Amino acid sequence: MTERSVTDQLYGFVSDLDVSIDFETDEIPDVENIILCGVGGSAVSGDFAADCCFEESRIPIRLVKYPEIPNWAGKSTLVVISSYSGNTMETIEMYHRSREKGCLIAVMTSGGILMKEAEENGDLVLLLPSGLQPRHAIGYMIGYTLTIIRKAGGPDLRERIHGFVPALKEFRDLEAIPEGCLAERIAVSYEGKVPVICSDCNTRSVAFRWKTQVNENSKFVAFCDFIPAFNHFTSDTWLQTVRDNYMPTFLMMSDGDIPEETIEAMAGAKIPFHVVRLGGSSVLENMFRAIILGDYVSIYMAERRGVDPAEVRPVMQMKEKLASFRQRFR
Amino acid sequence: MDAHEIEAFDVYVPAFPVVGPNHSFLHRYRRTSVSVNLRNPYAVRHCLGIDVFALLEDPQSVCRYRPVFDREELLRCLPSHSLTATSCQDNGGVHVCPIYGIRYNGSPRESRYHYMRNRGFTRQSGRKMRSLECATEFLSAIREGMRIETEIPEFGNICIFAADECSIAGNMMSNIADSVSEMPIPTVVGYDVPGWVDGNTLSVVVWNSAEKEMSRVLAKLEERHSPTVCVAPVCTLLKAYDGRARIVEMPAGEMRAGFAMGALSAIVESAGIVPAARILSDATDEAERFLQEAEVIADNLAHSLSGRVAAVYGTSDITACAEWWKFRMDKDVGDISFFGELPEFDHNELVGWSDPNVHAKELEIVVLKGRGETEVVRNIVECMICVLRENGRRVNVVDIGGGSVAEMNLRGMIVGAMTASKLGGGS
Repeated sequence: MTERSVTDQLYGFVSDLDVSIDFETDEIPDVENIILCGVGGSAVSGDFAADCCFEESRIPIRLVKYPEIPNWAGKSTLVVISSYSGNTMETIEMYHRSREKGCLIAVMTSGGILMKEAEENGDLVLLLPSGLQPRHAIGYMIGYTLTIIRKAGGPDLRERIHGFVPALKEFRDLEAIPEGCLAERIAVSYEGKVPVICSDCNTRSVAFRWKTQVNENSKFVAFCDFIPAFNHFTSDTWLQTVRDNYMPTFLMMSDGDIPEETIEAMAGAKIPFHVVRLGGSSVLENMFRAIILGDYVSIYMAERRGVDPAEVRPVMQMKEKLASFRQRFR
Repeated sequence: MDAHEIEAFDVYVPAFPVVGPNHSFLHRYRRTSVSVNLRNPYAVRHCLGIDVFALLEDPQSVCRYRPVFDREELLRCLPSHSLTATSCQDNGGVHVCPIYGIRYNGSPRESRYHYMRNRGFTRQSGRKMRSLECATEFLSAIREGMRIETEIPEFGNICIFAADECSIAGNMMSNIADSVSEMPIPTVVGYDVPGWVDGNTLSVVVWNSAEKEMSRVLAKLEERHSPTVCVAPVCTLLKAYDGRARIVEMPAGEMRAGFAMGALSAIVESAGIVPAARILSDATDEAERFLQEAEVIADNLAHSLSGRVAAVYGTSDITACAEWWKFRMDKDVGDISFFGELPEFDHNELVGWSDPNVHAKELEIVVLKGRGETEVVRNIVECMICVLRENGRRVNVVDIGGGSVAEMNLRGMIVGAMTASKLGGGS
């Protein structure tokens, strides 16, 4: 596949999802629990898929971003290993440890060491299209992860997702792309501010995605927080010590998931903040809308700063430093 | 002009943030003149980057003077106009020292911290600040929690539901389970119940103040016939569930998160999942031995973090500890802070942190580094710190030692509690 530009990749998110959600794979035996392993862009899709299934899944789904696989994982655990490049050190380590524990393994990758080893070991491999930035392959990765969860006995979200795909495209074309759209307005308001993205705890993956996209595409520090922890730990702090160089942004997935009293208190304290109402027909749809919006906000921020969203120099520095270790690791 | 508005008010901006009533200090300070409206001294902080307070002579105080942060008290003590920093004024028998300006980096806590630390003062509230006692109280609360006894119903799997600071206790238990248990012990933070929780699931619901969220959780658990144990302070909700769930009453006290940790470990152990209480007990003993060392670490950290906004990162096995730091910072310091996870950081946040972020110079990274991490993680974290430093970012690395996950978490929590206490004005 030829390399697509960052904006093309973002634009393709909804179509990528629409296609990949119908992906068919081998049946997966019954399992007691599912672990989704990955880091960075590859972790976001697992995190997001787990949030999508939170209320309906009859199987516990757990995200792991650490090389140590939980002690309780075993033969009745399905481990989904995601690494877009297939060369991410932590993820390869997770793969090895999962194998040692005798877990059932599915690998999601576009190639690299991971694909080679998984094929050699006869594990289920879901091949991702090449030529994408790992963090922008999220459409495929969410679709494939939801497919694996469904095959393992988790909820089937296909009909619902297909149902709102046209609305997602419309949202993207109206609120995320045109000049003066919501995404651009939010990006403008973030100038000179540290975005602090706050969502309901059941949709924390979305806030996390916003944060990481601002970090990587816009090259800015950003943070995330969650309701109800925000109400218990943090809201008083915001009110006590006014920090006007921060911009709390509340993502409303449904009415009331960010309590009105929180918003009123913030308004009363004259703290600059946003409340983003996504306007979709369900929490699930709003989660996808929020992903689209956040991605474009980060691109607008990068554009206004004159930085290349695709360039991730510090990550390259890291890779260089790790190179010698990696040789040993191999 | 209002009688309390003083123009051309003299303040001293020190070259370094140390202040005292001793005039010998003063020559080190740059004298400057600002306009201060004492009706709103906080405006001075925010407009001029200066924190203002007075020192009042107080024979009862440990060092003869006590600071005044309270605007009303300051107004009562000050002459109505023309107070200058170079002349101490007699005001109705109260000796008012010059008002000092402290260099300010965005929060009142820096000046407060340095002042308190150097003078050994109590906080405005009059409460003695004591980081060591705070840590000791925390450990005692854990032990108290471990002593609870409750009958555990039959179950097939388990889920902890938690909110407020008790969520940290739940996360700690999940961290422990991940390292040693044969059965997962997930912690759900919030007010919803995952689809897999049913009549076969032992639900342990723990909260301190989050009645609202937990009432939703308990209602859903009841619908699903999940056998439930509640750990909470006496409140309307707890009373309402007396007889419908097993109840463990949480005693009053500052360190309820500690009690929650202990209680959860006792429940998990009684349920026969993992000897969590024994593990936590060993970790508590170990943490007790670490207190003196922790105080030194906390002292240095408090210096480094004063006036800064902390972003605390810990590896995934000690996320409870990183979250605890944020909680204590919010509570004791009264300023925002953030927490995150390693090695996830090096895949995205690293890029954001490598920019100078001139609009947020007050941000300061703290890395909680345990010695239990794998070789892969150790190398990644070290490279990450190196890259951050090469990009001009200061990184505070806190060595929280090795041992079990519980030990690392507790040691990190002790340092966090002490640091926050010191930053909040503790000794």
